[in-house]
Amino acid sequence: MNKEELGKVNIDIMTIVSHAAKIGWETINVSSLQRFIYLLKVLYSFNSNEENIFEGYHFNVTMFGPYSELVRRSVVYLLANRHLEGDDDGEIRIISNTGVDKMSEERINWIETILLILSKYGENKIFSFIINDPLYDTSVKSNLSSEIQVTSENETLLVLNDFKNAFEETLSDTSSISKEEYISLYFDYIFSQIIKG
Amino acid sequence: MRFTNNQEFKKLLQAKQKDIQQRTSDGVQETSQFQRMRTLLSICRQKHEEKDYRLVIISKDELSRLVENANKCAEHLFTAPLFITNRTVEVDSQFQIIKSNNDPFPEENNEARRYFTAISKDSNLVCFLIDPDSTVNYFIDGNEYGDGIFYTNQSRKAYEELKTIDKLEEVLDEYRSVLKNQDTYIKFFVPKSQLKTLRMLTGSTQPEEQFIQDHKHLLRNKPEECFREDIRNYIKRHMKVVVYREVMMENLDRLDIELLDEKGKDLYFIEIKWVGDSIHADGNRFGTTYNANRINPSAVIQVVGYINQLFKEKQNIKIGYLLVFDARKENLVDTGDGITKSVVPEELRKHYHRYKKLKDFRVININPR
Repeated sequence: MNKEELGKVNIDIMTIVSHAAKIGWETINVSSLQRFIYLLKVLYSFNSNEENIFEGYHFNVTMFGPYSELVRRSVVYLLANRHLEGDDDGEIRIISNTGVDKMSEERINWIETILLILSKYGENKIFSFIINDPLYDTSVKSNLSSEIQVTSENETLLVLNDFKNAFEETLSDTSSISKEEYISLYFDYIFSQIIKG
Repeated sequence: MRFTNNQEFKKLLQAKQKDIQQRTSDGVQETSQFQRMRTLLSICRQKHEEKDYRLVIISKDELSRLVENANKCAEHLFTAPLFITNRTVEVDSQFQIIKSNNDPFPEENNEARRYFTAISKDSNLVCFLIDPDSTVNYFIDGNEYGDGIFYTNQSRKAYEELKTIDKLEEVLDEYRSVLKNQDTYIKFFVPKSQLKTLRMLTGSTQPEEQFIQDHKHLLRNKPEECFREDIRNYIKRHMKVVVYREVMMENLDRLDIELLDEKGKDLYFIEIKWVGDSIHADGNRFGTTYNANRINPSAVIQVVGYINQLFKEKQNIKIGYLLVFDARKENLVDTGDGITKSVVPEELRKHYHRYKKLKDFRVININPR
């Protein structure tokens, strides 16, 4: 990992924590942050056919969800340099505006989109969504320690496309449903499955 | 294909067609301003408890101009005296109160619904009804929303009421009483018909009824799987936790039941053992017998060893439970009797305080079937 890579991740994390505060999440747990960035990356592959703008993140499977060493190092850096402050439980909060929103409009919008979708359910539910994520689930079942492969034909993408196709085959008019809305509806569906147990 | 080949799912979509179209095309619900406002109202209610409903009204125009620092403005709103003392407030894009009144809401549910719906329809306003438990229902263009497309708020509330991981022992105590129900315990034991066959095959001279009474405590072959699945399902149904089974650790040992809290942060595990007699795999003879010395010390050492291993793996292990199903013929003392720290090898003793032997889970085949 070079300095430039770390710098980009620092900006992502500052932006995420800052936007999370705007929806009332004054603090966010480091584990939630790892999971959130994983969802940013995986769901992006459904939203856009272009190159994944979160390609630089690599996640491994752990019992507690996806884990990126890059994210951990960035959080350590930001805490050490007093851009974030944290407590012993891993809750972090923003204390400076350094780097916030210093990225493309597209990247900011995507962060905000996923945050707002998840905000309906609360930070505590992110873990439940992760363990219900098809790609994560497949990765867990295949090999506990391997890197999660977010390819252009990953499991999550296949399931989301299948979800969208079911809408298109069933409803008379789906023109008003954007890809972001499909993701929102998909989470709605997953949450209903979590409730049912 | 999980969805396109699922006719039930497609039927559900057809049934929800109107809701889906309203949600995705009313120009309000999918905007970031609306979503942020809904979330902020819910989060602020969680922080500032209230026993009463509140109706927060905002015009579509003001909502579209919701300020950047809406989180701070919402905080102010919830602590404003005018908000605390009035059931209905209309706010602007900065959550400043423009109008307020304390008129009571209609008591009857449908009437209340009509009342809120009418406000949203007549005046082009968006109405958020905040429940004391922080659920938010909303009304736009004379339509009522709040439930998800695929779930109801009622089922969401029921889910939220499930117990959290710190209540694990409480849930296990409830399970202990469930074990007295015939429908529960019957699945662990050899059925009556098989006992009759066993009597013949073993050449017993005991009268049939007597043989059944004497051997009704006989467990099915490999009962550990049955016990583990039963308790795992019970925990899943009653707790807001993530339950895994047979998770392999780095040293290739397996945890019977692993539990993570809803946040995926704190780890607990349960090692399941049983004592009693089981039938042989071929079903024609008596099989394995386990007694208390299976528990003390070997199972205790095993559990503390697992805790040690999880620490080595830097896992956030809280407590490792040893749970014993006691299906012994006689009522004997608890299998945990006499367990002390000294039974554990010295190098593991530092983790002994994280180990807990639960009182035996007694299973008796009261009325064999």
